Amino acid sequence: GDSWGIFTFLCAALCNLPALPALNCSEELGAGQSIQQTYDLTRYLEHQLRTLAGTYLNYLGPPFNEPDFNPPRLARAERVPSATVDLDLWRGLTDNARLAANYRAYSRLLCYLRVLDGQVGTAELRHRLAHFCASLQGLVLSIGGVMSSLGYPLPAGPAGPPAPPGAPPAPNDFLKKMDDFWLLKELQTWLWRSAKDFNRLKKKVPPAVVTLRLEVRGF
Amino acid sequence: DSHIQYERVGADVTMKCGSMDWDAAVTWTANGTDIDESHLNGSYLILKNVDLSQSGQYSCYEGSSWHLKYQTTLRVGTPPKEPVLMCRSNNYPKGFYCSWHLPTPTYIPNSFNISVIHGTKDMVCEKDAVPKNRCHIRYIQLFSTVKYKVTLTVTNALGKNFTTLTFDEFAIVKPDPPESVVAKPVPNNPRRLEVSWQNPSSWPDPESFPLKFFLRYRPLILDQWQHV
Repeated sequence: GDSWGIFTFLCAALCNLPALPALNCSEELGAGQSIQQTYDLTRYLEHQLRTLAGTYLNYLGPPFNEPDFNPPRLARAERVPSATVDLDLWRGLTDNARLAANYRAYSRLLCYLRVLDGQVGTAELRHRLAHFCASLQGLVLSIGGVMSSLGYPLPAGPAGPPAPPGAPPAPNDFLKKMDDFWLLKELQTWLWRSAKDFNRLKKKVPPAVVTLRLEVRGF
Repeated sequence: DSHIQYERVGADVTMKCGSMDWDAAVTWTANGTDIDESHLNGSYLILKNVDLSQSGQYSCYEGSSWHLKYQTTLRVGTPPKEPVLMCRSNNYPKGFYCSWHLPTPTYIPNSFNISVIHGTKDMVCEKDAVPKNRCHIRYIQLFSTVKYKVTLTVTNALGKNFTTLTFDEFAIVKPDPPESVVAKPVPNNPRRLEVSWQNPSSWPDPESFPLKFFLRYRPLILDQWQHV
């Protein structure tokens, strides 16, 4: 939008002043641009997930593929990171906290999805899952890139095995399917939330970065 | 002795003249007009296969003294059909509202009861003064994975009915239309039009939740729409 244009102009103007050391414009440009790219990625993944979830839920069979299926949340399902958050808390998140929450969530979700990938029956599903995992990996990297370019430390990665120590694997087939159902549900909800997270970041980041850089250079 | 009596359309109604004996001599009136004896069985008034036009005030008078012995208001109606319920969030992320109506009138008073369940929690849907048959709920949590289940029960003197809606938080988001849509001609350019509009005032946070607009237009002489 307009702020993007102003930002580019400022950056170009500053870079051309002969008395100043050249500002590293590409890094700031990177932050604004990769937020947009990350936003676009979440929308793309949301779209991809719709098809994947439809296929996967049909594979699980009824009642999982019924539109009104509304099971109670069992305690074991809490392992999957939840996008649900108090409204005021969400509004008040700092940029760092917002990005970190997304980074952590998708890293964990990716691990769980990869476990799934090793278990599913049909070739079509395996193919779709693999494609989705690759895109999701791209999203994690993209978020990481935004965090780095803004100077935020990356959250510690998830411990090796996807299940936290002590959490038992599903004792029966039905509960395993429930786990899969909630995994897809959380993914869907996270992608819905992330678009809003990155919208907030889009508006806030570029001007703030310009100000910060100017201060550092002694203006 | 006076009260209200609700009966179904098509029912056969027997009205007794209070505590009078069956063989007492009485006169019945409907809205002040005498009722013919052919409708009487002793002192009982028999109305067969009642219809809506027979709603009104029925009075029973003792034969000779014309004392008013009994009075009732007959309201002919139907039990409620399954109500029509819809829920929508036009002010995301603040909350959502549900509104309802009956597909066909019952002709008698109805009361509505709405319940909202989110997972294991019962939520209170606050009734709006205006319009009637509408209530609203505020979100406490956002980005919920658990569905909302809304049940609307309608009850009247002749029966009850209900309907249920189950939905995800994101499935009911639907903003109101844009406001102040104005199309102005562009000076010195007859083939151009300047269209301006505003976000709907009910949308609380367009910064974090931006709205996307689509514009289509056509000159009156053409049938085909063009899209911007």
